[in-house]
Amino acid sequence: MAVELKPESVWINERIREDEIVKYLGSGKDFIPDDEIEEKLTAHRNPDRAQVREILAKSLSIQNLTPDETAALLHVTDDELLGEMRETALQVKKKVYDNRIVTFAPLYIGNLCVNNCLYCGFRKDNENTKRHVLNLEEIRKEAEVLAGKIGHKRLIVVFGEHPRMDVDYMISTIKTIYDVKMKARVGEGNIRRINVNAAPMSIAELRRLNEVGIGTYQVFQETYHHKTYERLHPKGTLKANYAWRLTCMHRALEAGVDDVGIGALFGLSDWRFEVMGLVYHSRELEEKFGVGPHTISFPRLEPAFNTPYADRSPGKVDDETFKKIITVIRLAVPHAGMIVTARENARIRREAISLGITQTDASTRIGIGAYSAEGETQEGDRQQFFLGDTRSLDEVVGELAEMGHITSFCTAGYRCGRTGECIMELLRSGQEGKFCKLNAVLTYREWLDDFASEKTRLAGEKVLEKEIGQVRDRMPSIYPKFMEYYERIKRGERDLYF
Amino acid sequence: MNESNAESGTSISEPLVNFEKAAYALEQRYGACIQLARIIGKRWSYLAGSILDRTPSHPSRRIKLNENYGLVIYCGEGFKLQDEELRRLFCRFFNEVREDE
Repeated sequence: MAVELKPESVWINERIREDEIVKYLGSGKDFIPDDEIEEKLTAHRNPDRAQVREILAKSLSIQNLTPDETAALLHVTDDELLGEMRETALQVKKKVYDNRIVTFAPLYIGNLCVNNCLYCGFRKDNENTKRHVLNLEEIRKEAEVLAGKIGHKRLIVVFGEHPRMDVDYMISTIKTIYDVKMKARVGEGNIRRINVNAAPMSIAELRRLNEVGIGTYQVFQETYHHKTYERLHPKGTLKANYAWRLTCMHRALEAGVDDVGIGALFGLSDWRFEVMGLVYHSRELEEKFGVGPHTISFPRLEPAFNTPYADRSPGKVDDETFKKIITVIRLAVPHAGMIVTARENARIRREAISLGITQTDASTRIGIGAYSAEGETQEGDRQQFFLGDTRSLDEVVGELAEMGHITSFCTAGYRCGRTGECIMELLRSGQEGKFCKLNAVLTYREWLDDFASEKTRLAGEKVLEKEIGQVRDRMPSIYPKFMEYYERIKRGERDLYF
Repeated sequence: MNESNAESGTSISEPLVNFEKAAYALEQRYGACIQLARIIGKRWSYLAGSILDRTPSHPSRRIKLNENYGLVIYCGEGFKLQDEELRRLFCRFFNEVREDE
């Protein structure tokens, strides 16, 4: 049955619910105090060595850093101290998440948008962009390639803010993707976790979205700096409402979505300010809901088709600064997953892995309908920005194996009640890392058997041998059951997990 | 946790208290870790119960109580209660709790 769409102007006017902003403000103010952040950044311009080392020790004990402590780390310039920060960041990651890197793919569903953000290739006024929103059949074909040819198990599905991509459409999309099951070399390919990157929504809409069984709900603030935000998001557009966007995770958590992802687009404003914004945001969620962000993202502004602002923004971040951003976020919010994407080139992604990131994508295509289409890997007039790394999942898994990392396709946590305050506690205590290790091995075995090239499979077998040895030595009580699952997977069973 | 539904007038507060009492008794007897989860599609969202503080010796058992609630249990070989017994024990707490429309 065809659903009649509301006129765009009517839809826009109905989106924002002021009562669902005001309830989360303190005396009418939001929780990003620009002046206070600037004061702290100024006050900690010259951190001393002893203070920095104390902060690193705190981070290593898996405690969140305060804004003052974060500001101090943001100003470290001494090479020796920076080296210690990087080493500690990696240790923190290993303590919480062991040595696994989770992989996923983005799936862009449509490039219609009602907003006009100056830095975005999808902005409404970018007339040169070829617009399209996938129908359910096209979505199914995309999912078949992702699940059946590439072998991904986790997706981040990206929706624009437009009446054609309302919550009903999102729900249909997610159900369509979850229904896809493809025969693979030995077992089966399917998508087991769908994370959603979308516009801010009301509590009622988020409840409905949650009911379909999503993974993480992800919305980036873009910039936490109020004046910059105002400048980049034209008045009269939905996205111009800073507070509606900022409070969307409050609404999500109230709606029962217990995995939320936050982020900032680095390159729009001062990078130190944005890191502080992310820290304030994390602290706010933990204080109010007992749950911090499941993931933090920190994409850098990239060139985009017919988008001059993306080329000339004054706040652009160079590679060394980017690495510092990753290090400080890792130290400041030790339990959060951290994502670096194929926006970045292969070299930077390799370096980011050594700094404590936990998730990355591969075989990425961000054009609308690009996974199932023949043709160029990148088409500027169909995608939001240009990718830095278009390598296949097989290549990336192989490289990670050479670096000593296991690629994880795990989706167990949210299916086993390890969510909300439960997973926060497990992450802090280091117990979640044990589950991570077990499930990484099991899903890695699945992927190698179903999708890996011979070269990658051989590299992967070496990784598995080491990982299994570690399970035997470090977790002897669970080793027998673990090996039973492992052998069953080798025989073709799928989706066994702890 | 204090969900309530205006339509049915049935709050989850009392069932949660009952769950915690029953779970505690079983944990003390068998050394298991018993959690209550809300089922939302594929997601089992933690609601209440002990949080595991040691490496498990077995994968978790998931037992659906009804469409909306389930148990996640971490236990060893010594935990002899079957799924059906556990369902009978805990289901009665949650059968009257209705989800918000």
